[in-house]
Amino acid sequence: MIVRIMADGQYDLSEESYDRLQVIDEHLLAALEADDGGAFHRLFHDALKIVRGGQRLDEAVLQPSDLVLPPEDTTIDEARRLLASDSL
Amino acid sequence: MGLLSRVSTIFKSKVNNALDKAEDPRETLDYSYQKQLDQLQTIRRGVAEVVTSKKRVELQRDRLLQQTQQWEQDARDAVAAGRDDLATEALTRKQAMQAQIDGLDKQIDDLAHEEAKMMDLQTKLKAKVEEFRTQKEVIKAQYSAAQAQVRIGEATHGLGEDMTDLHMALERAQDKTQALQARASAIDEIADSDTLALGSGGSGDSIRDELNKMHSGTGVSDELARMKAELGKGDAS
Repeated sequence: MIVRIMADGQYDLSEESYDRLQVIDEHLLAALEADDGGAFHRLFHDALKIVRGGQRLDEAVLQPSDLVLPPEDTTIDEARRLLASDSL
Repeated sequence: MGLLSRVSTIFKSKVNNALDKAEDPRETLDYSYQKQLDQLQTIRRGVAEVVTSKKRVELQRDRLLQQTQQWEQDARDAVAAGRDDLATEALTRKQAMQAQIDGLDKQIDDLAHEEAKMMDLQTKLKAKVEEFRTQKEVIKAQYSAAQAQVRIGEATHGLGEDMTDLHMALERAQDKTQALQARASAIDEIADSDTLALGSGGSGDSIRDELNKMHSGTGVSDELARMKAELGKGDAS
């Protein structure tokens, strides 16, 4: 599975890593909804770590991603604004 | 659906909006390539604007720095003239201004970091557009329309993602420079009114003056003592 970290690049992840990412993803949304900045920060950090554990794609590769992560220094407020930009 | 899945959906819809679909795959390729070149130009200009904005804020910061040096000199002169009250006033202002400069410095650093990332993305994007140019010729020459459709879809989407990624990074940096500039201008106004208010000995807001004095009182008296010691005007007590 191809996963992009915005402002970073794309990584090729195993199915197993991708599944772990999906679990964290659910918790991330819960953290956002509970406005728990600490949990958000920790979970997002874990998610980045999983993605970076994958094989980094060469810069010249032109492939669509299965999942896209916001930039590594995204705060909980920025994540909320990102979701609110749905209409764009 | 989790948070990242939602972010992905939003991101992909941005990518789709950026791409244009033509009936003939070969047309799509050429059109996309042209559009990507245009976008690359727009991005290059955007990055240059962010760099310019940051430089302007740096100049404002330098201007504040000069003013703190002026306050320092004023304080020295006041001590030499035996006017501790005036020296205290000057040092209080100097320290308040220094706190603002420190805040600006941190934000400028932060922005420099964004800028470096954008430059890096821009370089990568240029390489990808070039790669797309090569691929499109190969696709056009070797594949039947049905096969080409799939590969064209992948290549244009892949590149569209990179374009969108850089666009969003640019917007983020532009937001930050704007906030930084607004802040620098506000500080400039304070600095200007401070200079004007020098004669009357306050900012016009006596409560604010008292609070500033209270907050920086210790630092100011330490600095005053140091200054007096340097000038050989130390208290006997």
